[in-house]
Amino acid sequence: MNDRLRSTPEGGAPSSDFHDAEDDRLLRQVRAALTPMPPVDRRAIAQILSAVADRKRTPWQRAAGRLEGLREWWQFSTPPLARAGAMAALAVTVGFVARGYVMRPGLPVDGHGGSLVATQSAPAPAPATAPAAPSTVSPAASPGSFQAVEGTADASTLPVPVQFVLDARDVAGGTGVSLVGDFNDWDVTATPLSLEGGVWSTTLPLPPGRHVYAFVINGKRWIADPRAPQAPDADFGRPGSVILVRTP
Amino acid sequence: MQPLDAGTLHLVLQQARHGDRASFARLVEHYYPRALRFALQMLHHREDAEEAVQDAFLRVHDNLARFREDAPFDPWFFRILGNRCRTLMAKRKRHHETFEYGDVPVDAASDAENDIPDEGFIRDVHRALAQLPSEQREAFLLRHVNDMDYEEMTIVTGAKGSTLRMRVKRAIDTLRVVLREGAIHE
Repeated sequence: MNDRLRSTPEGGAPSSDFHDAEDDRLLRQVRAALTPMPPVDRRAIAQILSAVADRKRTPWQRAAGRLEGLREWWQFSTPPLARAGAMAALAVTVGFVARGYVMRPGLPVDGHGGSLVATQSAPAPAPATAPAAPSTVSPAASPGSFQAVEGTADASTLPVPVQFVLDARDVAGGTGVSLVGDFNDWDVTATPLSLEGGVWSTTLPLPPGRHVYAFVINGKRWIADPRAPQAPDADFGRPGSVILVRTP
Repeated sequence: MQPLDAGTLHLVLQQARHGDRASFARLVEHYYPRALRFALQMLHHREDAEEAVQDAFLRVHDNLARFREDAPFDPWFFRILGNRCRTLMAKRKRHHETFEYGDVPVDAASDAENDIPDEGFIRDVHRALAQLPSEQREAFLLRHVNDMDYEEMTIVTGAKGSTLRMRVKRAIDTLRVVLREGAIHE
């Protein structure tokens, strides 16, 4: 082989110029050695054609094949550091979502300045003949929707949706009813009730604990809830009722 | 096997795209030797090479309908084949069952399983090629054995033209040194 390759003038160190005569000669020799086709086993071609003929793929298999192709492309065209970063970001995202929405729905997720709480759609108002007293609604009682709200992440202070109901027959001549209490600073305009099916009702989230409230007819006349315990500490002589909201 | 000229190949591709099995068979016949040569030179292992080629043809079959008719077929095909070869090399490394040829001493790698010709200079070239990093080996083979230009090589590898030029240059430098050392030792 000595006659095939001449020594490089610089004593074997790789040359920075690979277009010189020696490289051309080397390339010709290497190409000549590598260019001939290998012996082909006809059975291998027959096997490929047979596999193609049997190729009846379900849409799922086709989709999996495309995903595999995408994975290969990503694996071989993305730098390892970028791949690792993307995988870490994906893992964090999946973990966050799983923790907040799947594994413990309704419970707070700490950190990042927010918390997730469960709020629930109110049950339908009771019929006018049997108006419901204010009651707490357990999160497990009916499916609810989830929304993100700002606040502290303490389960014992999570607001619980409470429905307030007043039979229209208890409001003689009333054209408007609102709810006042310690939760809205006794503001007559803050929580109006809506009339439906002979029942005035509204639902609002209240923190667990004891609350005092009253209904206000036409913005003037205060009445206690006829179907709830009366509050001994009514607001300076005005009637009021008591509700205890339990921790969910 | 009749080699296909460019016009016939285009026609065969068109018919294969529309599901004609006979045309696909002609396509396989036409590309198989080149594909096997490339896979053998990348993997240096007959079974692995045949597996890579078969996988590549199955993928070509599955995706041929999506192949753009006016695009060159060779880079698309060799991209699929190159990916299969790289996947097999990665599997080899992962499972530690066999070694990527360039990672082990030449003598240890030249066992019966490796498809290295056992004759003089050709054997030396194959052994020198096997010592190249896989990226350089692929670039060199595409450029100087499969006669692709750098634009086509970009499609195959996804690397930039300047990167590919550097890989080819380094491959040639290494080949020169290794082959010259081999010549001195003889």
